[in-house]
Amino acid sequence: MSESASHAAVHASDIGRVFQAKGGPVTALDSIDLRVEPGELFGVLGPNGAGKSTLIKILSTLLLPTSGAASIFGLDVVTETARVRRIMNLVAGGDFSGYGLLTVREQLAMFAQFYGLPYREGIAKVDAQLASFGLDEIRDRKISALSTGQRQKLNFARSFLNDPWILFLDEPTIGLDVSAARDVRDRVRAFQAEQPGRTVLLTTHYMAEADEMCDRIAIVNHGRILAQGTPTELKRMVQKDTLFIVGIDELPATISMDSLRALPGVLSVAERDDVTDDVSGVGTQTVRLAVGLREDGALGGVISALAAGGAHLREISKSEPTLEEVFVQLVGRGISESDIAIDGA
Amino acid sequence: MVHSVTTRDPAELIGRIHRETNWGFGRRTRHALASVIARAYPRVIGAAREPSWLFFDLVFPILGMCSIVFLLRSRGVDEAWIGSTILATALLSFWISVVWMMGAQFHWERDSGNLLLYITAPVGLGSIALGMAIGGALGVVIRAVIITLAGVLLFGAKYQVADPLLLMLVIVAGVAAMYSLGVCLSSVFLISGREADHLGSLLNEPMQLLGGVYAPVRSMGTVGVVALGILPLAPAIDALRQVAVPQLATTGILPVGIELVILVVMTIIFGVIGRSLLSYIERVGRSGGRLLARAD
Amino acid sequence: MPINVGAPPAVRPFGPLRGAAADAARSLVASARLAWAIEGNWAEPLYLAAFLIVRPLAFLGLFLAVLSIGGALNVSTIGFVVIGQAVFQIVSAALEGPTHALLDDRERYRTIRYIFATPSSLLPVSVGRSLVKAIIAGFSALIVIGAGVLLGVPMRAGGPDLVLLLTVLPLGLLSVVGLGIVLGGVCVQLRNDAWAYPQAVSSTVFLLCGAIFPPEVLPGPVQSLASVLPITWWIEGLRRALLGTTSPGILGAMPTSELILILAAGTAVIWLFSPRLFIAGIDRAREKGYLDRNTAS
Repeated sequence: MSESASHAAVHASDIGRVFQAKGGPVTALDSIDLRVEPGELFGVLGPNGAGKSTLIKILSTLLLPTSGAASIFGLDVVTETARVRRIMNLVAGGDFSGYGLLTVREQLAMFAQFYGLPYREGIAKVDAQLASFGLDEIRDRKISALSTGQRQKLNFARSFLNDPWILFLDEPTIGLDVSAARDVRDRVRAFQAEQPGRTVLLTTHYMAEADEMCDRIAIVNHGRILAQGTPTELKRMVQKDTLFIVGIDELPATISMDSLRALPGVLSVAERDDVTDDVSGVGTQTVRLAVGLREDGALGGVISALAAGGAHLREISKSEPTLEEVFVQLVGRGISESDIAIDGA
Repeated sequence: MVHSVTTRDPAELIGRIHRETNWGFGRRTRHALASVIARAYPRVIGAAREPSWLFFDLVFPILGMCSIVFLLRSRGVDEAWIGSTILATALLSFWISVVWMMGAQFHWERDSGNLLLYITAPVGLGSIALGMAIGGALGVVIRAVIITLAGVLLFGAKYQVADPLLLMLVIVAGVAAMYSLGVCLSSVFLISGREADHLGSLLNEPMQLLGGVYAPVRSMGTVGVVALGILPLAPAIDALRQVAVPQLATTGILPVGIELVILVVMTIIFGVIGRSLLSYIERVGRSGGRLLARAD
Repeated sequence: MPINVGAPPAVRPFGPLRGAAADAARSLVASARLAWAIEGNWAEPLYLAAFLIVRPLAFLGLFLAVLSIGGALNVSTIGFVVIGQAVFQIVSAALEGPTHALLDDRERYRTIRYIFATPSSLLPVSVGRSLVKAIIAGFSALIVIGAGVLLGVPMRAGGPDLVLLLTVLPLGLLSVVGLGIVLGGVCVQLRNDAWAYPQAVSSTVFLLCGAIFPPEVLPGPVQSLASVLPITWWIEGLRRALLGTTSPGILGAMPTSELILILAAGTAVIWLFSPRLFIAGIDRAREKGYLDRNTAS
């Protein structure tokens, strides 16, 4: 293994996975190359059946690749599984594991032992996680009596018990309400902030979640990585130029669209159809122009020209494409409800 | 947005992580033992948490025992057989637990998602299975004692145990051999997929017959002898009958000492096979991708 | 001349039946078809082997092995046990069937609320499922009887007493299905171990009804319970129809005509109350919100 690979939190080289199905072999992953640095929160986005879960299963030692190699902090996921399992943990969305008869605290204490924590240290960790996730009040409640949100918080509390260096989150907020999902995201951030080097690999269907949380994202489809980079880098892929929305009271008669387009650094100008009606009763409305620029600095010329013509400036905002637009452009379609309801391979 | 990308020297970080994952023999042993106890805990605590489970775990064996006792009385057989039937029912409750709480357990654990957590944890499936077995056996002890007491009270059975230590040895060896077989069954059930429940049913009544639970295996000729060599129930019940009900000592197919040796050998052999099967299911599960995954 | 563009005349599969009777018959047939598909589990050979063949034969073997402790068995003793064990396959299926069907629909298939929302009553649906379970269990019964024949049990000379058979068989079947639906109405209101109660009842009935040993060996007060159970007389009636002999003891002392009378009266009493009890149970379950409940939670 190269030094570069051994220093990565996750290093996957030419990973492939073929499943034998009744209708013939099915390729779930095809030549995946991936590198996640220590301390990163790396997201994997893709539609149902894209291969996200297969990738996470291989990296978390649940599944063997049919080709290629992968390592976690330099430990091979195929041959050094025992060592990999000592530094990792996993949370899967919609997971209702556990023993219904045990209380919340007993369940966590049991897993603390499975993760190899000395008894006293394990109990202290359990109590700390209960407090951290706001589960203290239900510590003596049976697992069978927990709500979906409480169960998922319990899953997260379990996954933090062994202070994993790498945490695999497979659709972790699926089925959670907005507040519970936000709590969980906050805890993941805090978990990473506590110890430099802690790494998170997240699969999700929620674009906003990936955009908000991830340092870098890989978009996968049909078992291949279509693109990877920071959310900003990915967005630049679909919009190479800068787009500003300029709101004015009215377009001066002396200024034509063509004259604006002729200004230096201006690529395009178009009147948007979302004119805001006068709601103040003083006879004003807002006309919005979509102004495409080669660079941000060219905006000054446009504003000056409009002001010189007598237009009153109402608003200026920079328009960026969403991650969803990036996804649609790369994958060819958006993520549907069915993608969210049924997790892919 | 970039969060807490490490400022630590990557080489130093990797070195630390590699040291952390290098567990010595002592730590691995302590971890395995702690995991066994941790997995046994839900089994022991379970009966106390759900009294209705205990109720049905007692009602069915006691009703079955009554049927056999009345059947024996309809033939006017020696009352010693009533005592034998009661003890056999008590020992049988361990076998029922082996079939459903060992054999079918990993199948259920897979469907509930627990198996996935076991596989991704640094704990071996062997420790989990051993914890299930020890916890299961301890949980059944109370049940077996209550069944015996109920039988004695209902039917007035009397026992003359000349050697209580030998009796204890027979019970412990029998239970150990049964649960050792249970470790093997847990893998077999998992491999059998959705027909696991039916497999459990096949291992219940037919095994009561072949194991000579209520009638000595001697009456089944060659089949009985074969059962004695492969089914822990058969030598365990046969030895128990000879030790606890001396009037029936002549019905024993082999001397108690030999049956004890058979049970010890079974415990070891089934243990070794069970361990191999657990490694096998993990290997096949990881390579095939289906065995360990929830069937949804 | 007006043109009739209305719907074509409705198909009436139940001929003269109208209104509620036609609805009930339709529900009964639909549920029976469904039960045949579900309960048969024909796609699972291990299921068939386990439940229809191996288990009943293992039980039979176990009972005969126990009986043989008391000395060599004669064919009449074997015949007594064979018919009892065979008929009890049907009894337990019918007793447990409605509860398991209701709980399956509630928790496994989650369809009970939709069935409840249709004009159909759950009663014919449960009866249909129960009947099919009993019929499937009939295969096991035939296998057990076949094993008995192989063991040398002499069947009635000249074949079964068809008049007696065709009199007692439907009566007994009706009585156990009736008891089964009462159990269903009760168990649908239970939470913990709702699945296990019918089996506990079935095991108790097995102890009382003289299936494998004569009721005389039971303690005095329990014996009288045995004699008021229609199932006791159903099994004895079938023994007479199939073996052509009467059992020893109090079972054999009952004249056949009185046996039929007791069985008919018992069945009538059961059906006088069981639909009402079932409907009352379902109504209470609906009131309490139990039709959406899960016993595993």
